[in-house]
Amino acid sequence: MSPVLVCEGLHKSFGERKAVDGVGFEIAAGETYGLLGPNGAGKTTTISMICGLLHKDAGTVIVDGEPIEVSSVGARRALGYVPQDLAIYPDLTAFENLAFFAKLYGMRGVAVTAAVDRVLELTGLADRGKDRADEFSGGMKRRLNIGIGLLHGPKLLMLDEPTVGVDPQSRNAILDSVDALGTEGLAVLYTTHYMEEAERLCDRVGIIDDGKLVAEGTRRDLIAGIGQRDRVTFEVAGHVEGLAERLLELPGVDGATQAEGRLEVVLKGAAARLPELIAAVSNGTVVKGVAVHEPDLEAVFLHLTGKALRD
Amino acid sequence: MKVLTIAATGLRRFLREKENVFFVFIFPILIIMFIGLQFGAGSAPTLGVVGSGTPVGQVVVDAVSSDGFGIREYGSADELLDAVELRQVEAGIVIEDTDPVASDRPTQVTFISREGFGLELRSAVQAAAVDMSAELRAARYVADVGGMGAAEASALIGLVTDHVEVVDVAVSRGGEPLFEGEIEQFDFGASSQVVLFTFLTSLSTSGHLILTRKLGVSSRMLVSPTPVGVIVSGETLGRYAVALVQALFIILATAFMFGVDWGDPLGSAAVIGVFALVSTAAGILLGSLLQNDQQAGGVGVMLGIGLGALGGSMLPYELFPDTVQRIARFTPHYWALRGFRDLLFTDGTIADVTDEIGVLAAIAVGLLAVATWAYRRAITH
Amino acid sequence: MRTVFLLTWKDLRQRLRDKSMILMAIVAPLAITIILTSVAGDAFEGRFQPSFRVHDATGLIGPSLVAGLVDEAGFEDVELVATRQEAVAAVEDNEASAAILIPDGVASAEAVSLEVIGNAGDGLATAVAVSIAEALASETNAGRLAAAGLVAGGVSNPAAFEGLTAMPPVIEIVAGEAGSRILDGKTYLAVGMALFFLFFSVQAAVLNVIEERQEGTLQRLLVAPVGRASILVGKTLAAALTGLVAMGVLVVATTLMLGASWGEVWGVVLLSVAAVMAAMGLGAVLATITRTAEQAGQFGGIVATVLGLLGGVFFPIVGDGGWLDVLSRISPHRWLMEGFGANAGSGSPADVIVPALVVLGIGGVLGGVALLRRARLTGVV
Repeated sequence: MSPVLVCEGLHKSFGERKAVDGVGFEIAAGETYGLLGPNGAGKTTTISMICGLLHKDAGTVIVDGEPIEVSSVGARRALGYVPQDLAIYPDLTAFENLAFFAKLYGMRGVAVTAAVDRVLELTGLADRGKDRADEFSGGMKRRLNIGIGLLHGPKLLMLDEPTVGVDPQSRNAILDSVDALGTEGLAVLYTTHYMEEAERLCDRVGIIDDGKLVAEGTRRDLIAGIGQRDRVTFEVAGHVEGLAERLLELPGVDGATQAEGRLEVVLKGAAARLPELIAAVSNGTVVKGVAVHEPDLEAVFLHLTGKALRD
Repeated sequence: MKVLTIAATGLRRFLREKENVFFVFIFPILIIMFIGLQFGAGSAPTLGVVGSGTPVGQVVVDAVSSDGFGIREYGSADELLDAVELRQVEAGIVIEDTDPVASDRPTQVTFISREGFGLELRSAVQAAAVDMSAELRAARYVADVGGMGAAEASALIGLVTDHVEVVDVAVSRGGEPLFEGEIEQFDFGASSQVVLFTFLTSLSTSGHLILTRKLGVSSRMLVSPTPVGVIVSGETLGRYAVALVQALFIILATAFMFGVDWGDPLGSAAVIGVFALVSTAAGILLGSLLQNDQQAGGVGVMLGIGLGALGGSMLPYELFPDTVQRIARFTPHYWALRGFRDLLFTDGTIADVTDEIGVLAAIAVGLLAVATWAYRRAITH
Repeated sequence: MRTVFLLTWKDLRQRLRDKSMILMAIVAPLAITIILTSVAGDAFEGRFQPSFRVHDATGLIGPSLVAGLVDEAGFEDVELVATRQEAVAAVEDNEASAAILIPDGVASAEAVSLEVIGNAGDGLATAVAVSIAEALASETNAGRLAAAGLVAGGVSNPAAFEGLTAMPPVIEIVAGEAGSRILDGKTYLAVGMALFFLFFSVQAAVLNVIEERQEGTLQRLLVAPVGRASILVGKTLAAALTGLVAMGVLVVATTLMLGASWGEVWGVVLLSVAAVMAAMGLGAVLATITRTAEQAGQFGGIVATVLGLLGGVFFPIVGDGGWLDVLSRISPHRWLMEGFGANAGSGSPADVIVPALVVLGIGGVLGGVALLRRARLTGVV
């Protein structure tokens, strides 16, 4: 079966800055693909090119066998897009919002009502359909935002960081519904900078940094790729200048990064080397806490880029 | 002083918006300039003339312009007609090129105006024609009846003119003038616009109060160890400062740029000071009663212009129909303008405008009490 | 085509739900026009209707003078009173504009003065009364001069003196009525306010695209299987309809409620379409040069206000070829006011069509500039 999305060699520069530099990946039907990377890595730019919102400097995007360009119209029918920020009309009701977009995707008559009802049901907004969107709670707005992307039964659904700034409860609801979508044969492209989300939802993960796809595979593949490396996090205070640099000089340390009292180190056999690490860290620094993590995507990212996912 | 901190923050937020700076400082000055340019300088209408070089034309043009009317010459009757229809001139005359004494029929002067307009110019033209007619008619009559040539008859009349007793016209004045004293080009515009805009700005920016509530800043202030009274007084003071800054700016700018004489400084300061307080209270009341900041802006502009017009800041209230003039007394604008009328046009002092200041102060106190109560309610409920 | 209408209908539905929009597009211009019209009464009409009191001590001249003023000059309130005191009192009590007093000596050959007592509040009427008196004096003087001339010329035939009182005129003033291509007071206000607010509401409608960009819904539209052209046309159509509906409502409302006379229907439609196009062009350019909806709204408000002021929507711009007249030609409002004036008055079709074309041209040029910069709008780089 041919993949729903094939993109190859995507390039995009804004002036001197290369936002996306040779990104390419494929997503099969029923597969959820996570594009994982810190803020500013090029995730939204990549999605914008796939949607045809931005001109590509180079590369191709094929969705369901048809190329997508800024100028293409019909091929977009296969796309479902959920923007990062809420993109709904606050002064229209949930029903009107959905019906408008359903018609925009070419549906007519009973098909519109059927699609709208289905999505209202799916998003748990069935009893609030007649209320204006600006009367909704934050979580309800988010659900409506995602629902619009699902209306027309797209082949490929793109979710651009749908959980940013969402309360934990709504976030769980969103993750549950995205989880369910993949099983219905829909290809999903999911961008996030939350490692846990990528681990939970995605069949395959692409790690993006500085506009480049630095690694790709299933969670298991990626973790295996870095060997049995553990991730150690320290909570530190006091004199923390140059701590990461110092730790990187220790033998066997593959990555170290620090930000605001949090220090992350990747290395093999962390448990055995803990005393040595603590000694190195506590030189002039107060260590308030230490934790050793089993290998995870965070460790992969740190190993590959030398950076932490969180800013 | 927390009150001053809150007030200063309000003033700072206000001045930071470019739009405010334009509508508060630049726009009123532009309007005053326009009013001055359009109506101030020589409001006497202009007469368009075709044939000013003819014997009759020369005399008529001299006479009409010495009456204080403007004269503009046109090449053809068609051009003149266009100008009259477009009101580039109030009216026009086309003068026939004949010698009125020698000709055996009257010299025709065609007076062109839009229906019902230009009566004063018509009178002036008629007077000029009539004035020169005395000698011309006498000469023609003598030439006809006496059987002599036009030149001979004219000479004869010229000889007797100095010896004939004539009737002349003496003019005097009675009754009350509409506007007392001397009104300079920009004076009316300046005083009416300062009143219009001080009030208008207070109302149109009442949305700020709603926005402060919506953004939760009001709640934040309430949570801090600050009594409600201090918050309300602080906001009031900040908005009062805005009103005063604007009024003061317009007064100073017009004084320096257009030479407007604002009369007794104490009197003008008192009138505008109390009026600004009325404006502030009205703005706070509006901002407390409405819930949507954009709507508050729209309603504010409407009320500001509406009450301003009704109070005489668009057109002098002296020109209103009687009923409307009675209604005007219910607007603060009317009282402020009445005060300025005395201060600016008849060189009154603060002692002459105590009535107006008293009425304004009463409105201010009443409105302020209601407004602060409503505002306190709005932020605490 | 279907998607175009779908987008248009969606925009219009949002517009109708937006209370601020309805406030700005319809309520504000209507309310302000109504208030200003009621305030102005007939002061805007420019009609000159003075009231005169005439007292004639000779009893010979008065009746024909009054009849002449009423029948020929068209003054409605001219009265011949029995005593001098009565005439003077009427002026002193502000009941009459001027009194014309004819002394006994006019009938004999004495040097006397006709007296005019003008009301201090009505300079114009006084000037007219003086003109009337001067005409009367001239009449008398012509007779006296002719008599003296005949005597000096040695004419002794008594019959020659008989025609003195019926001397033929040498100058005849004939009325050549012009039409009017400017708006009457009420209609001027209605047209001016409608145009002023039209630019605000249409601009807001066009700038809605920035709001959609900020909200992210524009990206959603762009991702849908809809051509970019359809989105552009759909939103443009919605903005145009917003403007045309607002204009239509205002035309009908001011005609029915205030008796404004907008003139020929085709002219109103043509000029309204032109006005909407210019406003849309302006809005579109603003949309491409500003970043946020707030910024665009503020800047747009200033531009619309300055163009309105310059174009004469508040105060008429006199077409005297002065700098203000020339400068005002950059404002579409100026051309529109002229076009509406010609349409409501006696203008030829060309007087309506030419300004409409100029305004359409302004809209076209602005729209073209915006189209060239449309990438700025959709964010497609």
